[in-house]
Amino acid sequence: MRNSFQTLLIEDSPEDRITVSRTIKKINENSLILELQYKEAFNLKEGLECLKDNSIDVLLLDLSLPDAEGMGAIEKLKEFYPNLPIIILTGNEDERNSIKAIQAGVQDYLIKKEISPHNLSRSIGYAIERSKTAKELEELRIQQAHSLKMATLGEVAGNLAHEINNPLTIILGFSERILKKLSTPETEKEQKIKSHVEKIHSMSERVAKIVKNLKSYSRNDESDPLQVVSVEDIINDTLELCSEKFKHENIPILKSEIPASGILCKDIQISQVLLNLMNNSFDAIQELDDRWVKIHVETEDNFVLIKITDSGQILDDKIKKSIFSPFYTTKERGKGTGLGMSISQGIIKEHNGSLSLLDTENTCFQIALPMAKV
Amino acid sequence: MSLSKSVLIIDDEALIQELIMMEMEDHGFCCHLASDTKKAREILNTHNIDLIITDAMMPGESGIEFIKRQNQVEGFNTPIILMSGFTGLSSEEAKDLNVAAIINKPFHSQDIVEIIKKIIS
Repeated sequence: MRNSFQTLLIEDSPEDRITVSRTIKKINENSLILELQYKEAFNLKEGLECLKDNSIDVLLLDLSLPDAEGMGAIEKLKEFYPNLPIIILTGNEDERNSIKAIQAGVQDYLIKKEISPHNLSRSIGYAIERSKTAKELEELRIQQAHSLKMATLGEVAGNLAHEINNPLTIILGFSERILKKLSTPETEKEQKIKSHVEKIHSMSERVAKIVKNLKSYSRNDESDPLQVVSVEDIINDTLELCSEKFKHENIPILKSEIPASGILCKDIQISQVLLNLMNNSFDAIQELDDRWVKIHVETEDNFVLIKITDSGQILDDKIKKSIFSPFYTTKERGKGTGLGMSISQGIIKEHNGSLSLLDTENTCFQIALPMAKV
Repeated sequence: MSLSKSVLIIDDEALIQELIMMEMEDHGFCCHLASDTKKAREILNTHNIDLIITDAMMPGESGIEFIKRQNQVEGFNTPIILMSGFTGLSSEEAKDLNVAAIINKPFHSQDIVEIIKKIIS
């Protein structure tokens, strides 16, 4: 089987275009491993137009175009398509420019008069592999930065928890003392005071619970053992962390009865995935008229299925295809890292489960996890 | 229960001292208060203490260091309860401290009384 790649040549000189297209034709006739589709653009503007639908696998770029000179073209292309493999075609043996181009992130350069089926096919193959490696490295770097961020967040959460827990102990303790003294109120006034203090008490309990959840994020969960945890508990603990935000925006969270079932997991990680899905839904439906999020749990063939559906439309095919890829985001620049879904999928896979987008009327994500044997 | 067992409460937060003291006194305990471990040692040297409740994090010597040092004092066997908002201790480290109980803040007064009664009786 030959690997098929779509190439694009951006070149203003008709003779050079003919040279390249002939070379590619020869590669297709003779190569055992490559099969190249070929497109042409006469200038950078046209080239950028061709790149728009993301169908180009490798770009052959002339360095002296009428609408962009040398490095300018590379910079522009890198800005819009940082992961696109680029091979530079130069007219002369200006090594300094070629090195500069490599430093700017292109994969290879070829001197036009030396182009042959052999060196072009080799260059294309290498360029694609190199750019894959570069992309993987970049992914790794961002994931590391992300875990560093999480670790810092964890530390802050730990300190915060400590700072809040002292005053919280005092509020809870003294309201309990008042309630004890008013356990059988004798007057209407006492009855009123009791009911007010009960509210203070129950709200401080809620704060305590949030702090406890935050605290669990502050721990390094790498070495945490897998534990059998009730699905209902995980869901409720997660909702504790985000329900306030939904309430504030008047977005109802509809939760059907959760069947009693346990999963063997690192509960904090599962909770992180749920929180990510809830937050994505929150962002996605914010501008809609009809806004709701539904959580439904069912069991099927030794699996627990947790479905999170929101009132948003079913996602279009393009989004569906890329939604689990790292760096893919539909959010505004700076709003999302594009890593949430891919990290979530990684976590669920590590738990021998699956995270998928279902074909339903609305946007519905399903987490399937193996049920714990009791 | 025998008359007036003595409890030493070590916490830098005065209101927490007060809260635990009131609860303890309601149940017939006699309380001594210390806001740091230096004061705590003075009390230990001059009074008979049946139980110590200490906070984990305090300015100066922490509750955890205090416990480690007390454990090395010959003949010291007063039960200690460690209170903590957030220790970050692993279960092994907690075990090594050899405390009678660890109570997480925030706690319910009722729980603390139950635990103390269990330890002292």
